[in-house]
Parts: sequence; structure tokens; C-alpha cells
Amino acid sequence: MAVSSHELIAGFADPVQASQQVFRAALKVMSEPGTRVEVDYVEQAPKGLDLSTWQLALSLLDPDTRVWLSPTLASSDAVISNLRFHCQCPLVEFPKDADFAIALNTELPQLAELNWGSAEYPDRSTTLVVQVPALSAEPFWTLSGPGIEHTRSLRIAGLPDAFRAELIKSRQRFPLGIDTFWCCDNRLTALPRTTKIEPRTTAIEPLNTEQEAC
Amino acid sequence: MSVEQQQETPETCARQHWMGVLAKSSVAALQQRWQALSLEPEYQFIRKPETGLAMLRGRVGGSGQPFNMGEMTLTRCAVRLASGTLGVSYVSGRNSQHAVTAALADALLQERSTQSLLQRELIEPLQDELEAERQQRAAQANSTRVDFFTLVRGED
Repeated sequence: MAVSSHELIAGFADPVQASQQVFRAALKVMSEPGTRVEVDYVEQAPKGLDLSTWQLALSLLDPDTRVWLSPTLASSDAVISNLRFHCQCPLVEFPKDADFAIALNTELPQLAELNWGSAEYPDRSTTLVVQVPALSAEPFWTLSGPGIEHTRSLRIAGLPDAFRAELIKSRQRFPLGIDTFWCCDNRLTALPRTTKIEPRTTAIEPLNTEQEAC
Repeated sequence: MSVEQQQETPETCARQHWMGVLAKSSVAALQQRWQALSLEPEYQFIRKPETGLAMLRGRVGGSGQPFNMGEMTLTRCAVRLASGTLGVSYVSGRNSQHAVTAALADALLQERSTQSLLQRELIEPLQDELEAERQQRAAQANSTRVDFFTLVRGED
């Protein structure tokens, strides 16, 4: 698919400064899992992407990073054109081939479908970037591990039960694992593979709280 | 990244031509003619001018195996006019003003209202200058041409 010029939007106004600031924010959320950071270096994002997802893409993706997009994003002209124009990243068909997988919360790939790296090179795994309807510090998950002094609580809305269970279970394969970024509007958080996740409650999330603004 | 299949429509060819002229013209000549037109379109940057390297590839005799000849410095830029038209430029060297002007001219050349004016006042004179320069260089080179031939030697 060629780049559609009418869909192109401006990237960072000050690319060097802004991509470093966003990279710094990404480092912060990865090294202190569960903290939420706001990033505000662009005014708009392509239709279908949240501001934080778009800024993360602008600072992390380049011609050397292979990217997989979940079906809705992959069929969006605006998303593809802007990623191609601003990041020049190759898009791949299967999540296994990707360095970064960008997905909507309703179209998550199975973790097993991603690249987990190898015992020699666990760092060659796919990093998963998920766009979710809400992120908050409500006690829903209790996080612990490197970068967290005692525990930290985090609630990520809109995740299927099966995926949550899979994510919690994936910690057993350490040092292999999948690092995840979670994006909502202009906010960003991360759960690297080192973070232990304990569900505070086994009850199914009530549906009415999912609509909260993020 | 693979090169997208582009259809060779007349519009594409015309655009390739004017983008080529804008990129190859000297900065001074382009700026002078551009300012004389005193067009001041409203625009926003989609990609601010940025300088980088591009690998030039060649083929021996135009048909051999492609090889990497060397890298050149180039500056690229993309702007969007208030009307929504996108202008793109890739120019050699590090002059960002050259890239901005070329991108603006590319955008305005796609607009019906300004196309003929710019063709007449900007592209054609610049093209003539480029052609004259090329002719002059060719003439200079031609004056030093040596034709090699072997005289037929007598047998005795």
C-alpha cells in the first residue's frame, strides 16, 4: 500500500528534543513499572492511534524495527501512511517476526504468537504496545519486582480474562518474556517481564467501570 | 524498503520534472525568482527540513550489476498548505531554506490556481538556466576532446 498524502499529519515539532523526552518517559515507565507518565509533544495522532501510542511510535520506530499491527490498525490508511512516512518501519504480517507489536485491547495477539527471544538472546523478544480504554492506580493488580520498592497497584481496563491470565503466567518463563507498554490517550505505563503481577481480586471486572475516562 | 510501484501518469511525469528542476537549481536563482513572485502561502510542516545521507547506486554502462557508488548529503522537507495539498522536496546539500522553498513550490504547482503562473515564472526560467549551464559545460568539455585514431602505416 502506498503512502496516502492526504492522511499525513505532522510529527514532532522538534524531533530531536521531543523524541528524547518521549524515550525518557518510556524508560521511566519501564524502569518503574506501573507508574503512569503523560507525554504531550504532539497535537494530534493519526485516526485510530492514541496520542501516547503515536508518540511512542515516533520515538522508538525506525527502518530497523519490524512492526506488526493488529487488524484494525493494519487496515487503517491513516495509521499505515503516517508510520511509513515518519518512521519508515517495515510492517510484517506475523507477530512472530516483529520487534514491536501494536495492538488494540480488543484485538490482542496470543502471547505465544509473539517472539519470545531465545535463551542466548532474551532481549530479541517482541515488545507489545497495547492501546487500552483506561489506566488507573486503582487496586486491581498488585505489582512487585525490580523498580518497585514495596508494591504498586495498577488497573488496566478492557483486557480479556484469558489474556490477563496468560500475562501473569508468562512470568514463569523468565528470562524469556514479553515487555509491554500500555497506552491510553496521552498516558503511558509499562509492565516489563520482570514485574510480578498478583490479581487483588479474582472477581470479574464490573462492566460499568470500564467506561471511566482515562 | 521496496520502491512502490508508481503509475507513469502524465501528472506524475510533470511533477517529477518540476521536482527535479527545483532540486537541481542553485539556491540563489531559486530564491530570487521565488521572492519575486511574492507568494506567501499559509502552510504547516509535516516534516521539518532535515539533512541526511542517501546512498547513490549506479550500474556500469547503465546495464551492469547495481553497485553502491557513494553517499551524498541531502535535505528533505514536507509541507501542507492550508488547502490540504502536500508538497515534498528532496534537495542536495544542507540548505534547509532551499528544501522549504522547493516543497512550497511543489505544493503550489499541484494547485490549479497557481500552476501555470509558477510553471511560467519559476520552472521554465530555471530549466533554461540549467540547460544553458549544461550546454556550457558540455562545450567546455568538448573543446578538450581528443579523438584517438591510428594512422595507417606504410609497409615500407
